[in-house]
Amino acid sequence: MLGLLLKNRLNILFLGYTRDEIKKKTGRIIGTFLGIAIFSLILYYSARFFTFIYNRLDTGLANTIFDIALDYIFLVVFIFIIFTGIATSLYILYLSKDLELLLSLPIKYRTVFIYKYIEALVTNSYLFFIAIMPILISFGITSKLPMAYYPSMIIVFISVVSIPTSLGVLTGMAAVRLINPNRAKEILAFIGGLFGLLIWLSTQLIARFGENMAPQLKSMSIEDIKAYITAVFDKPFLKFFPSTWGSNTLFYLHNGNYKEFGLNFILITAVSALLIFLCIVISQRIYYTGWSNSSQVAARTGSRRVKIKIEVNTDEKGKYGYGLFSGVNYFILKDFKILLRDARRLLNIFLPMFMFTFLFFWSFSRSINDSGEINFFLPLKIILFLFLPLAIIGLVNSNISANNIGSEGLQFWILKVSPLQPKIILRTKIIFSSILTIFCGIIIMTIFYFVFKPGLSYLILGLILLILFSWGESIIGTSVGTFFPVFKPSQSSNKNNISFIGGMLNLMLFLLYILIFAGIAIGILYLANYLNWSSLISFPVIIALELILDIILYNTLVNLSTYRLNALEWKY
Amino acid sequence: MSDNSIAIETFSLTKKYGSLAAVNNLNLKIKSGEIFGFLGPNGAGKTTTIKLMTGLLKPTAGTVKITGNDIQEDPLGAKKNFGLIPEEPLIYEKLTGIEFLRFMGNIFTVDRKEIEEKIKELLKVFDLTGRGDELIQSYSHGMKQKMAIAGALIHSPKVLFFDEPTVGLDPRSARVIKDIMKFRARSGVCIFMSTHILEIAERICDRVGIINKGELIAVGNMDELRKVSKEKEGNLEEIFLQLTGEEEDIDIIKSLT
Ligand SMILES: Nc1ncnc2c1ncn2[C@@H]1O[C@H](COP(=O)(O)OP(=O)(O)OP(=O)(O)O)[C@@H](O)[C@H]1O
Ligand SMILES: [Mg+2]
Repeated sequence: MLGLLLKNRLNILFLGYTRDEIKKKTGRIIGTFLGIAIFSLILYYSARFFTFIYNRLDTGLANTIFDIALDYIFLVVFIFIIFTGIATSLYILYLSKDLELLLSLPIKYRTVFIYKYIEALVTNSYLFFIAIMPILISFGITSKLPMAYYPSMIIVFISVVSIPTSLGVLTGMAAVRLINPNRAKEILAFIGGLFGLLIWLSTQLIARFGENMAPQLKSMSIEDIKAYITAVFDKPFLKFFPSTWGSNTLFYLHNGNYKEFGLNFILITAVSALLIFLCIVISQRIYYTGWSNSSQVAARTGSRRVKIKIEVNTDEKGKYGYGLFSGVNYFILKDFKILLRDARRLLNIFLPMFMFTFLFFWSFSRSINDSGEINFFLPLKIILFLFLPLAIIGLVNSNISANNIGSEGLQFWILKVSPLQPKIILRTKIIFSSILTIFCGIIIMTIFYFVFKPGLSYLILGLILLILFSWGESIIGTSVGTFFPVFKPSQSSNKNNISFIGGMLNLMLFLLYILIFAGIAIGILYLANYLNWSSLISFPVIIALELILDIILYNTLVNLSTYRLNALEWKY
Repeated sequence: MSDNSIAIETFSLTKKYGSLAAVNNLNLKIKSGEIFGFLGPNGAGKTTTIKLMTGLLKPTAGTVKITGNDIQEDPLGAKKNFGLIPEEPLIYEKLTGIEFLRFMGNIFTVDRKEIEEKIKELLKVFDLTGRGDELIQSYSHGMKQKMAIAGALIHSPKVLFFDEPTVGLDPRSARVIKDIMKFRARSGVCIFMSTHILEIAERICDRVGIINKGELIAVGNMDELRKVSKEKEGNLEEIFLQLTGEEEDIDIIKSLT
């Protein structure tokens, strides 16, 4: 029966190549070719790399490098699947569309569960399969390993990816007992994200820690280099990650140390098998009941918990809860409400912001003070203060504004039948993403203000530039999003509401825009310095020019996308 | 606008998907105050017709006028005057029921006080009074359906499009909807509904159109349909089968029963 289900799944996959809409079909075919190309490229270059290292380096050193590199590659896979795997598993096990059908057919629940488990495993790992298999294969070929290497390589790979998948499935099953799966998915994605961030931070800390611990590299003797590398990278914590058992299996096989090989192999496969067994046993007890609860009734419980109010309270407006946002502008309020209730989208938007802000301070924390002494025509810190926040919020914004139209999802028809001019709809969307971006920007700018201390006049200029930049960026993002929207049902596992091409275009236009925007401001500042203008002249000139840039953008792009919005059909 | 004015009018309306004509050369005239039932087998083109009439799809050829406004030329004029309840209740899952109704009221620029009154009234009519503060994602399918209907009614449109209005509703709610349709029609609202439930069509529709493979094959009241189908005594079900089926199909169906 399991075989039949899997065969059917393969069939669907195959039909995707032959029978689907032309657009999707070509997308899929191109994707496959790209996958094959990447696979071959990695295979070719890693083989060359391995040959190079083995020919040029001392064998002992090369081995040390391999050992550690393998450990880290497997670790990254492991952490990444934990990071994304919980949400994926939850989606596949509880929210995918075919479940209702599958569970109603005369198939054992266990079979359905195993089928779904395999689906989760494949979804979690196929990208890594493309990226890592070629490395492992070329490792085997260049080191002329025995044939037994290849099957054990595959078994090890599957074991390593199955462990985080099982953990994800187990967490998911437990969570669904408590909350409805829709909400659980959002919350767990959030936790997964925080978890990933935490791991990232701790590796950073460890790396820093390692710097101090590392012996001074006195001479370039091989022993010294080996000791150095080991001290910096070969951390004791690695031993506790199952991924390391996997990489050790392959490493010891390569070294011909069969005892350690056997030990690690048994360890990794046993843990993997145990977890899968655990999943199956537990699923017998809770999978079906969890599913039926969640799909039919449990939805009720989740909703009451999150009640976020952004109402403006002024006399009678407060009573109805929409104050400022009445009439057409209720659109904006609606978007805020929907966004704030969607933990997953919030995460997509704000996590990069925190990451980048943090990354910046982490990597520059030592040099920030020194940078005060660097002067072009202006102190470097002022330039950083003015434009770094823009770069960060630009990334935040492109995540919001480009999704403005697509995130309407299958509810897009409401927008289409509403008696509002498309231009007004676009305008409200632009205002929505501008408000959000400006809000984030003010936070970031405040932080940067205390770090760089650029002075009040630059703070004011910075804030005005922030508003103008957010507006322009929202215009670009919303327009591109209108041309390349992807409408998905709200339960979709992937929340990208813009097509791949649209995303690339948006990124390119964003880079272009920030270049021009910053170019104008820096150019005028330079000129002012050269001509000895006071900032009372130069700042208004900058602001006026940026304003003109935005107005031009608004008039061209918004008009174009108005046509597009008019022409968009709703086919679902 | 007088009572007999034309509410919906189509002129050789055509929609093609590749070589398939989902709707072909459709000419219809429907008056205010009329309940028009649109029947046809699965895939006949009913939903496509409604999407064309409401501007969700662009016609390959032909035009649609709603209350005299061309949906392509003067979309806002047309859109102000109709409400749509689509086949699936696809409404914002992350809003509460009340927020959704407020949203609909606001984009149709209904007066604020009126919105609140309407919301109370509609929630009561649809038996959702206690549930208005919950997120729509927690509603059952039927509740979502009712919410979608309430959303279409909040601005008191002159034309209502219903795509299979009673699918998935309990008998009480189905009855409420039938009553609403009759009541609104009496006050001059034109109702265009597609349905598979012939009993409803027979009982509440003033006129019925039958579409098959994108072609309108018959239109009129029961007597006129009987004439077309040459079934002297038959009810709508027999007329429908007669008109949309092949000879052999009817034989097969008869042999089954
Ligand atoms: N997006 C689309 N792309 C291609 N063909 C489509 C699309 N949407 C509908 N069709 C085709 O148009 C025809 C009419 O479909 P439509 O949805 O209007 O039927 P219907 O009368 O509403 O059927 P049902 O009673 O099942 O709701 C069908 O043959 C369908 O396959
Ligand atoms: Mg239909």
